[in-house]
Amino acid sequence: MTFSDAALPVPNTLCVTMTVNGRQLAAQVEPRTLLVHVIRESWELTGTKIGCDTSQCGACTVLLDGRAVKSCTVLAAQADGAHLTTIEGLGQAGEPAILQQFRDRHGLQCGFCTPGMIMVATALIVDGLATDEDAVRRGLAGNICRCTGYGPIIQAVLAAARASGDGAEAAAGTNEATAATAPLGVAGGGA
Amino acid sequence: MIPAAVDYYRPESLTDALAALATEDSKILAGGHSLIPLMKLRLARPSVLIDICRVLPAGVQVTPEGGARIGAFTTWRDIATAPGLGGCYSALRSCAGSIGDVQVRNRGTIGGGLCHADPAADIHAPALALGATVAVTSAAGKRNEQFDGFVIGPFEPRIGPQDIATWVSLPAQPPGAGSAYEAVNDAASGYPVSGAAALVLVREGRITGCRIGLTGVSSTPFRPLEAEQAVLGWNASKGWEDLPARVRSVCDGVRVLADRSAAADYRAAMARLVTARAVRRAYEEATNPGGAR
Repeated sequence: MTFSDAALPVPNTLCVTMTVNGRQLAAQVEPRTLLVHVIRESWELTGTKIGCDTSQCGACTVLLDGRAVKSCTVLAAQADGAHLTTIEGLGQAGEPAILQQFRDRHGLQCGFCTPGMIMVATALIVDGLATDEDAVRRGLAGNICRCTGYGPIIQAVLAAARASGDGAEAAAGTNEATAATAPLGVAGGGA
Repeated sequence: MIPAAVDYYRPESLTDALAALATEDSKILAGGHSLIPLMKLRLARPSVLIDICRVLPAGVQVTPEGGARIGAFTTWRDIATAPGLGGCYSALRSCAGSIGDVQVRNRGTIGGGLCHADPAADIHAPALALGATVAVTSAAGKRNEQFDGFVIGPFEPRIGPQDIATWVSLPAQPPGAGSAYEAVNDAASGYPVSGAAALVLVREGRITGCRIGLTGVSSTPFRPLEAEQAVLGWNASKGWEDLPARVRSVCDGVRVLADRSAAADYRAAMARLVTARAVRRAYEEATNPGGAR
């Protein structure tokens, strides 16, 4: 051990690797590093937002192996080896219906909650859970819009579900990965 | 918010996990949806996290004897969508589907939820009503713990820091059994002000057996034994409005919590309400399986 090592404690780090929006990315992180911080700071994918930082608001929602999760409540270490889709990963294969519907129906006001809303909506549609207004409201329960513009958001999700080759039908299948790549233009989603 | 510095270890075997748990202030990390928020608030500062994602079973099995076995690492989402958990296990399935939100259910696990022992955890109600058993492994060997009495205080399970819960088992029920979970939730937190699960056995239209589990009401989940007895003999001809009167004793002898989301008398009233609703829906599940939803 050299003198400088003794004088300056170096935090433990570990290397995490993920397939992010179809690309293989790695980062050297501390064990305590949250997934959202790796996404935003190491990989500079700043579409994913930090809203409440307390697992309430859903602005940090990403797809981890095809499932919507709050990336402020997952350690980067826990996501090692996973497939990650962030808002930047949508639309790589042409504009998905969900983005078009949010724009056409003005499903946003200030826009801060929008990436999280779109990511959870994407998962709901793929899973066939965006069947009616009540189901969409329940599905979006973990996402807060502090502008309170929920009406157009819900309408946009319902319209995208219909436009995505009948969300209900696409979703009847269980293969998330297959369903995710086609109508929604999700790259790298699913296990 | 960032957790305090911590080490992270992801063992590949249960033996390695148990060995690592011998480290002082080590903590098991499952889904992390209770632990990580506490670490971010620095209310929890473990020295090392032992991520058991690769060593614990995940999935729901309906056993040949008719009972069910759920791997401790099974997420709420996978319990809520498990095909084998209807009928007498409906309380568990509907409870799992109502916990937190979509994102929380995608990560949170039944083993983590039971062992975290939050007094307001939804899962405690069906675990009590359905007579769950928790299989526990430690360096000393394996044992089974009845869930009744498993939570001995707020955030205090009866198992120790060097024990790992591996499976949750539900005993088989006879034909004519049905169960349901009902809760009134705090609007902001989503946690139940009062939550009740009921398992009823119906013979010739009459309730002949009943177990009820309550959560969120007091500092530990509990069974209201007097109310369980008072429900016996009820049948549809007595009318639904008869049920709340029969279960009015649910909070007798219990120290009911009072906090900013509910005063004690309101919480007790909600406990009676959700108990009556759970018994009613369990009866419907028993007499018309699947039709009650």
